[in-house]
Amino acid sequence: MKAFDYAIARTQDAAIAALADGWKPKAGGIDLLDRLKERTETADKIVSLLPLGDLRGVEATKEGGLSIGPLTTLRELAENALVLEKFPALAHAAGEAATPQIRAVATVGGNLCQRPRCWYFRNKEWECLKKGGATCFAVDGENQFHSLFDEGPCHIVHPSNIAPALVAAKAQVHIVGAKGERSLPLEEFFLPTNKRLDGENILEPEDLIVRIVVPKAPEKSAYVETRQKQSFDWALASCSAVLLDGKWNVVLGAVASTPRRAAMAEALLGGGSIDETLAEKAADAALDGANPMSKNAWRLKLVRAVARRALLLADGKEAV
Amino acid sequence: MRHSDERKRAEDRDRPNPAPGAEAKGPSRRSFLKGMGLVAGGVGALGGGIASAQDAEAAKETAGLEKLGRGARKVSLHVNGADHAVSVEPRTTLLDALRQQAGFTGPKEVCDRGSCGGCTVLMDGKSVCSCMALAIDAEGAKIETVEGIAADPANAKLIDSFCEHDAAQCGFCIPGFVTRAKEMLAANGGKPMAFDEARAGLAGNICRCGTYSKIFDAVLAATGAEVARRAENNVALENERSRTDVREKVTGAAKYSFDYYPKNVLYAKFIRFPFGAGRTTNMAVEAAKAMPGVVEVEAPSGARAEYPGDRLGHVAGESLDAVEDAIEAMKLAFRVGEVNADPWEFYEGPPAPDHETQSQLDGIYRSAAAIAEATYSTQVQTHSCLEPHGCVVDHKGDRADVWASTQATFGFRGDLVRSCGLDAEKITVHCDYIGGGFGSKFAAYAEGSLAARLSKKHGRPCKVFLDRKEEHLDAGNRPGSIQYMKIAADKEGRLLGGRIHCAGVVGHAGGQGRVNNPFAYDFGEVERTETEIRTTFAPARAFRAPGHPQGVFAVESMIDELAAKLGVDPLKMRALNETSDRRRHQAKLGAEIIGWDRRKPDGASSGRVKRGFGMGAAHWHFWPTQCEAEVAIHRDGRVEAISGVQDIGTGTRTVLVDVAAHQLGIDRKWIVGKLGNSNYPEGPGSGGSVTARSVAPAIRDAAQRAKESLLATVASEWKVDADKIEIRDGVLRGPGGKSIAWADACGLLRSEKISERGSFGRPGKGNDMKYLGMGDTSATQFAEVEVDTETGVVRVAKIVAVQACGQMVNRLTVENQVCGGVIQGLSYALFEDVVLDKPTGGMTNPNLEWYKIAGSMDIPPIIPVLDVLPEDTGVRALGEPATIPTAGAIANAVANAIGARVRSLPITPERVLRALEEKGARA
Repeated sequence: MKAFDYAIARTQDAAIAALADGWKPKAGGIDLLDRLKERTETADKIVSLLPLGDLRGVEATKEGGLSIGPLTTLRELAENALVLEKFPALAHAAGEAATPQIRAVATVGGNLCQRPRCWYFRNKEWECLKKGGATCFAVDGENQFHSLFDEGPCHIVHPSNIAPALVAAKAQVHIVGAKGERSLPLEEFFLPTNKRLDGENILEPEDLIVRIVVPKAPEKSAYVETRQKQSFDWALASCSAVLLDGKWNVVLGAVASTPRRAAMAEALLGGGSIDETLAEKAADAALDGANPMSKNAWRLKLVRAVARRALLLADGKEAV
Repeated sequence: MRHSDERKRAEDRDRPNPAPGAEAKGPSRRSFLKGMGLVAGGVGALGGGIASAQDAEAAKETAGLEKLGRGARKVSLHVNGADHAVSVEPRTTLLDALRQQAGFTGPKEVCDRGSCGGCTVLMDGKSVCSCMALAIDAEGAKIETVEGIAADPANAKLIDSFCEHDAAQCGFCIPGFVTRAKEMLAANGGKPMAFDEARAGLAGNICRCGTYSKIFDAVLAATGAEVARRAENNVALENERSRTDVREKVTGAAKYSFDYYPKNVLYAKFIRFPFGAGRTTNMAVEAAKAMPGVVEVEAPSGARAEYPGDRLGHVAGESLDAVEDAIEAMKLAFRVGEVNADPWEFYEGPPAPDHETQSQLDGIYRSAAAIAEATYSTQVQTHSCLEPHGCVVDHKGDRADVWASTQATFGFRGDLVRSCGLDAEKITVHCDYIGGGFGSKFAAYAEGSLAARLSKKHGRPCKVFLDRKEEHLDAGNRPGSIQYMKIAADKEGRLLGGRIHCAGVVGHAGGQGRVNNPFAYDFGEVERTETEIRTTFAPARAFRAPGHPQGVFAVESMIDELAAKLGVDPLKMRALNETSDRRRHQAKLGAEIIGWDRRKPDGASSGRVKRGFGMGAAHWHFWPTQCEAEVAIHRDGRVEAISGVQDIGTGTRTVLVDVAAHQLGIDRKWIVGKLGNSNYPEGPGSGGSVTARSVAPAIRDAAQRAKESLLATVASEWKVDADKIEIRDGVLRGPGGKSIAWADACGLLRSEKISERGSFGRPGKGNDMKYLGMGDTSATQFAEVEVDTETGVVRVAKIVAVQACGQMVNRLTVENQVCGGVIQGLSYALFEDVVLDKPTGGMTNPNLEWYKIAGSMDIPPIIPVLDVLPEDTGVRALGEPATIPTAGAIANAVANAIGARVRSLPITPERVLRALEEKGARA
């Protein structure tokens, strides 16, 4: 790692002031250190948010939902009794991420904000579009794990395990920045690569996520991901199916530069009970808008599989 | 194409980078923390007294933000119950602080990215990757490393369980597993754990030797769960004890060469070209030289490169950070030259045979009941040793000591003669433990030579070890292959012959491309040709059974393809074409254990997840080797069993001890095994599975001579013939009821010790041929898999590995190595692949994140069946044959499950889905 100035934020205000002053935030540090070690991250001043205890933990909201602090670790989320009770798919998604050692440290905020795992982005050798270069090397290169839906210009997939479930449950993200606090649906938090290249979401340097709120416990939920290796591996495709206010929400992960709502599938599903035929139809509809690259069309089958399974599992049916 | 580092902001460079060891001024973090509460609490009270709102704002900022700067500062780490003062920069990882300063080298640096768990420590009771934690953040936390865990009697059950189950091969990953397991046990609340829980809990740790089976046993047994006895043997067992150095490995006490951090050490690193071929267009050498802590930069300008990772020069400095900062300051820029990252573009298919051969082939094909024609391919696999390649060289005057990670103590020494400028006998290579080699660590290579040259030049120790990216790029690999086969069979399934053409897919320099196809079976009249396709990748090196797993994948696939065409049971078809009665017997045995009768016709398994069975076979040749050894008996009864060979995790040290114990008739507690030192008697490098079978007879010879020498002393004391005395269970017994305990007998020696040399393979020296391990070995494996036809994901459900292993010196180490061979084969079959970016030739996955190695959740129950016959009196080769059949067996099981064949390794979801799609299109 290149040397950097380090500071520890003791208060939220101090953290926000530091961010506004050009300090880059560090929580668990799993993603940041990876990029610092590869020397693709140019952060010169890093501020640790870890002492901000108010930003850690999960609480029930008055409306029966969940209020999740961004510094909650993935492990805490996966094991939290409230989450397991109110939104089991979210706990499951958190528990499927990375490895036990990583989940003990990696945070909810970090998982939502982590940079893509694209190998052209992660390896310093390629000065790709996302790093300020002129080329997305995935287009003519090894794009088997890249986006199935986006138009580009960059073809990353969003790596967050928990985002699809949270988006499906219509979570709100609360952000405090230099100009005060604001909140918006998590779905609008993520930006596709044709809207933003130097980041994957709407956060500005001085912004800090202070809460992620799941407004109410979904009636039903499931999360399914498929991966080549059963030990530590990235999802080839994932899907969260959530029944909320009598309506199915289907959100795909690891297939586009943002968590992707399968709108056509949702329209077809409405809010009824799921049987095999309906699940198959909805899974087919989840492929709507697909725009695969030269080496990744095979993953469309996986999208179909995870969508079908997530719907059946969410509705308490056998899926395999 | 320009290097991304060029975009670094100018202000980064303007900040001075304090030399390592320089202390930042100001209070230590701890005292600062104590003061914090007062300052922060005081803000409100002070507020009224501050002149302007701006100042108030500034004070608030300062109050809430503790700035630590970027220089080194002293912090105190609470490790294993004691405080350790270390001097760290904010960028220093907890792992580096623990290893380099606090002296805890149990946690290992392997992937350096949190992917492998080798660096696992407990932080306030939770297992975390210390490579992904900053030391400065760890102040105040309770940190436990494997050393502390092992020293705490409360963990005795866990530590003992790892030891009793022989849960270590090379051992490099084991501290991470033990540390992780400690937390799992604590969380499990004393209940017996289920197999799947153990697998899930260990999913963040990677073992390259494939010790998972034993690790699962160890963890399960420590929770009180029932552990099935692994071996299903058909003979009585020789030795039920774990390897002699298992406790050192389990407790983190074992010092690998990578763990040496001598005082005043100089670090060096190569500057490397990242793409397939080309040259540098910018290399700011002077800027690098001007960086703090840099000692030497050597980099000729305009250097050409032939493969990704090719060396362009080197930088040496006071720390690895300083060296890496200097390489960054060079603002490297490159031009990519002509790249070949895709062997298929250069594959021309089998050359047409001459007229006569063609008409012979036509005759064979005409007479056949079935002909199968197929092209198979295998990927490039990297060794991915967990301990990287490299060494520490300390050149002092006319001597040099070298701590090397090598699988050839003497070969390494020989390689350094020139770079050290010393005669071989002035160089001592030490290698007490080695964290994996698998064929890639026979020589000193560039990194060894560099360390030697720099140590000599600068008169101080020099440490050069590769990082994980370099390990993938420039530390050897198993070459890929493209294999064409068109084979004919008669209606019973007898192979008649045909055409085989093998192309080895090798690196830029060529070599190592030979593929063992045909293999094991009698293929009849075969016209075989071979060629090499060169890619712009690193040169290959020997890799556990070079040429074999790739050949056997094609050979076994072809037999099943023919069997399917003929409607013949593949088991029966193999029996017809088998060249070894021994394997015929193994096949029968293995088929019974796996339940071959459950095998359905190809694709007939019902449901979305389909079950399939497959098998594969291997043999391994004997060839002559030479080995020297020494046994010393001390007056106090201690025995040293010594050979200069190395233990790469196979259990060589244990072979020394157990063979000597057997020959001397005493318990192994008396004996210490000493190896991994070039001043000891010379033995072979660990290649070709020869070490155990070479060192066992040599140590036996030495032990016999030492024993005779001791007996002569006792005989003259007792005034009887020496050949009338025998030693059994540590007691010497002679005529007339005379007896004396071992230690007392040794006390009769007239010198402090007697020492005898023994040898193996030396012409004319006269060894006991029965003990020599002459003869080939063989293996037969069966795989049961489940294939999810909707996702293409393959899970191996069970492997039965029947292994001929001659005389087992030690059952547990044998089992461990057989399971390890299977696991490496499984990982090769399903996951591992060097992915090159076609346009630039760079490797996209030079890490342990996207270069996928099987982890705990991917490992099924494995049943090693140790096939021992009474006439097998020798110690036999077994490390390599155990990994040869696995990929072929798994490929056949997948094809049986889905009724479609994947002809390329690894068998990825993509390939399974494509095979199913093609099958659907045909139907």
